[in-house]
Amino acid sequence: MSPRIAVVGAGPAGLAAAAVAARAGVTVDLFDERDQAGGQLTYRVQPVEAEFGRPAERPFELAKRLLAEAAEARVLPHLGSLVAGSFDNGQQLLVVENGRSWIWDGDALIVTSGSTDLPYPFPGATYPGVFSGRGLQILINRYRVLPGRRFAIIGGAEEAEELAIDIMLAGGEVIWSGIAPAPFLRAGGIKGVDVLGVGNEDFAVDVIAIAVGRQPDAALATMVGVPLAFAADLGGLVPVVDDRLEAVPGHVFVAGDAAGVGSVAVAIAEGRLAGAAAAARLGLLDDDALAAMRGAHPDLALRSARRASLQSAFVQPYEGPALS
Amino acid sequence: MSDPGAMRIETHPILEPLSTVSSVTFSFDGLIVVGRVDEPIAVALLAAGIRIFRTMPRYGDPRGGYCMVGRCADCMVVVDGVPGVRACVTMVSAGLDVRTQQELGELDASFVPDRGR
Repeated sequence: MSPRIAVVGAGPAGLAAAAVAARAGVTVDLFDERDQAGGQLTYRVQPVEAEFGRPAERPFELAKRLLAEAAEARVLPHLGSLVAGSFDNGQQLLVVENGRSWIWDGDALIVTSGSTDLPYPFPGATYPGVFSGRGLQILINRYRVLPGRRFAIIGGAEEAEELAIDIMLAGGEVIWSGIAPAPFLRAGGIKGVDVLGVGNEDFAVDVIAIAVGRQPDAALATMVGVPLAFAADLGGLVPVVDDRLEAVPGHVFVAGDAAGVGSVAVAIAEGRLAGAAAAARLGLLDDDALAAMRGAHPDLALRSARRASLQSAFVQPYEGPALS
Repeated sequence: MSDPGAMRIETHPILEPLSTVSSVTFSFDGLIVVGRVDEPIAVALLAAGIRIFRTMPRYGDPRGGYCMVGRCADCMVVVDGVPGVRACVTMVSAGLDVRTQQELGELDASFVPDRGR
C-alpha cells in the first residue's frame, strides 16, 4: 500500500504540493473547505506571476492549469470538506463534511491553509459597510456584487493597490486610499457606513475596505504543537519550519502563505518543495529532487534564511549536564 | 442614508458577463429578496442594499458582513428560526425565512439539528 498524506488547502501551494507528492507515488487527499479549488486564484482577476521569470497569467487560467496537473497526478480531491483539527503528529485529522465528521488517517500532513487579512481597529471599524480587503474582493470578483458606489481603502501596499484597481474595473469609485494611524480614522453613518473621517476631513463613502496586509493561517500546525515565531516580514506569527518546510520531523510540513505571507509564485514553489520533501521522507524521492525545487524561486532562499534565524530561537541553548 | 447604491456587476472588462442562473426568492425580516442560486445569503442581501445583519449582545451595535469567508461571525442571521447561521457561507434557497439576529438570538426549545446545514 502506498503511503498516504493529506494536503489541507487547495490554493496555489496546496495544488502544487499535492501534484508533486502524488506524482512521486504518494496517495494524496487534498482538502478544502470551499467546494471550489483554487483558493485566492478564484477571486483575483489581475494577472499574477506563477513561475519566477515567466510572464504573469490570469488567476483563473492558472488555477485551471494547477488543477489539471493535480488531476493528472491522481490527487484525490475532497472539496467542501473542512479540516477542523489535527492530532497525533498530523497523522489524524478531523474532517467535517456536510454536517458530518470523520477521522482521516495517514502518514503525513502538508498545511497549505493560506492567510487571513489583518484587522485594523479604529472607531467604527465594526460598522456595516466595512469589509476586509479580501472579503470585498470575493464579493466583487467571485459573487459579482458591488456593495456600494464610493469606496475608501485603508492600506498602502500591494493589496490596497490591487483592490483599488479591482473596484474601478467593477465600476466603483475609490474616494480615498491610504494609511493613517488608527486614532485619526473613524467610520460613521446612520444605517451602515456613509462617512470616513481622516483627521479633520470627512469623505462620503458607502464602503470601507481594510487591506493592510495578511497573516499566516496555520492553526492545523499549531494544533500538533508546532511553535510560532514572530517575523513581521513573513506576516507576523509564523510556524517554525526548517529548510525543507518540515515542522514536525517526518510528519508535518507547512508551505505557502500559511508558512509566511508571500506571492503566488512563492506559494507554488514552496508547495512543490513541501510535496517533494514529504515524498522524500516517505522514501519515494531522493534529496537531489529537493535541491531543484529549492532553486525554483530566488525568494525561497531568502525565506529559508529568515526561517533558520527563527528556528535558532527555538533551539535549547543549554543542554544541561549529561545524564550518567 | 441607508441605500449604499449596491448593484450586480453585469459586465466586467476582464471577467465574462455575469452568467444567467435561476433566481431564488426568500424573505428577510418579512421583505422579499431575490437572490441567485449560486450565492450565499449575505451576498443576496448586500446586492439588495441590506447591510445590517445582526446586533451585538453588549451595546446592541449593528454588524454586517466583514470577512465573507465564514471566519468573523459579523454576518450571523436567524434562518428558519435557527440563530447563529453565517450568512456569508450559507447558500440561498427558495422560501428561506431570514431574520436580523438580535444579540445571540433565541433557539426554539423544540429545535432538532439539521445535520445538512
